[in-house]
Amino acid sequence: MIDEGFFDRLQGYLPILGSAVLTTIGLAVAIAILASLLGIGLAVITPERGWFRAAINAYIHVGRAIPVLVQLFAWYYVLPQFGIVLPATVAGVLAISFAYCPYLAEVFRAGILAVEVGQREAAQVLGLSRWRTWWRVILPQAIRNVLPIWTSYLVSIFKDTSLFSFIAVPELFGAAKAIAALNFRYFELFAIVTVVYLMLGLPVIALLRRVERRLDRGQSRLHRRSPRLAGLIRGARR
Amino acid sequence: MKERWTYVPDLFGVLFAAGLVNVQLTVLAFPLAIAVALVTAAIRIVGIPFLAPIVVGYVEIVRTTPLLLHLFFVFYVLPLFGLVLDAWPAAVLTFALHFGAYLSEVFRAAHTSISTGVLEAATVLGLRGATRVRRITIPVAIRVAFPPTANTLIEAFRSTPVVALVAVPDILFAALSYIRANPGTSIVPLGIVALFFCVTCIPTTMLLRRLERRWRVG
Repeated sequence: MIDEGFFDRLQGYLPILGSAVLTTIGLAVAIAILASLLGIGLAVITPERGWFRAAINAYIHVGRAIPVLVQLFAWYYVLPQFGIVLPATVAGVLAISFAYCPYLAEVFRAGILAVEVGQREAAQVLGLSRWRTWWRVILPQAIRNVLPIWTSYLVSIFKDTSLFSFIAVPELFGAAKAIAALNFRYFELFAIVTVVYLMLGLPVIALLRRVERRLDRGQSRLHRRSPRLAGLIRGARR
Repeated sequence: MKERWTYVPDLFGVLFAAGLVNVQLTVLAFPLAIAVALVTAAIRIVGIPFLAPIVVGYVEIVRTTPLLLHLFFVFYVLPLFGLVLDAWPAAVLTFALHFGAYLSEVFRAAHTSISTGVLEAATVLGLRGATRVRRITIPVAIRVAFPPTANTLIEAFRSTPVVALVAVPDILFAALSYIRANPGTSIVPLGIVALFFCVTCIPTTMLLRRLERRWRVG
């Protein structure tokens, strides 16, 4: 058994690392969706002035100052003290989603502010309801405006799933670390993990860049013809 | 019930002292990261054969994989190649290499963002070669690169608690040790850690924003 080769060992790793990869993907997708929804929600419901804005600003400052790992341990250790016992996975997903929420709220807020006032006015004139104004006119343009920054935060979320290994959720990094702790083959295990992260991350990044470029192109073509109309058409299109 | 809270001031002292480790790590590693970034960005800008593709690979790999993985790589894998580092230098090296890759992209983008028009204007005015680089390229690039570099600095500081996971005695490590010794009190030490990052990060961020506004290009 001592002399077995790398590929023999690889066969042993595959089932464990395979299910760990699925965990990583599941966590990343869940957090990406929850954090984005929280961020968009916060950006939409917060007015530009008033005490509520001030309160949310304070929350955003504090939330961005506290490290993700500290927030993770806080959810994991502190909630049970108040009798709220969540499974580690749920506590972690909530912790990282709320850690990214202030960042994403700021990002989406910038995107919403960058949408021309005329767009909102035009939607009102056309008799669109508030809900449809947001959903069909403002948010699509706001999200387009911030797509690159949003993307980079999603990649950060994907990488931060590695922190789950410290609250005993067996994701990719944690699984590799656990195997390496037994057989001391840190190099090959961490190398495999690196390759898997690249295989998962690089195609997603490439895809998002392509979407970005395509949106940019579509936008500029419409803008050349008639920027105002283009905005209205794009916003009102079903 | 009064004596129940008497441990809090002591704990404050212990944890804030451990927080100095986080500050030191940032202060030591960030200049190294800038050095790494300057060299690697220069290699890519000049386009040195063989080295430039290696730099591209380094930057892409580091930016797509977690900091935690890099930390454990330096901590557990380098010793296999005979390079045994204590937790502290391993942490400094990891942070320098990790954030060096991010800054490398920042610096390269700053260089690319200088329009050819500006450079042509400088040439027409009789500035060329090293003088043009010194008088035009570098001052403009520094101003363009300042905001993202400042963000990376804050991000680096905010990432320092991960070193607790390889037993560097930083503020989070101290807090977790306390929690392990005194279960059921986790809200106090973790609250103090949160407070530490608030009182360090928020003023620093505000100061950097102010500098950004002052040095804004255009």
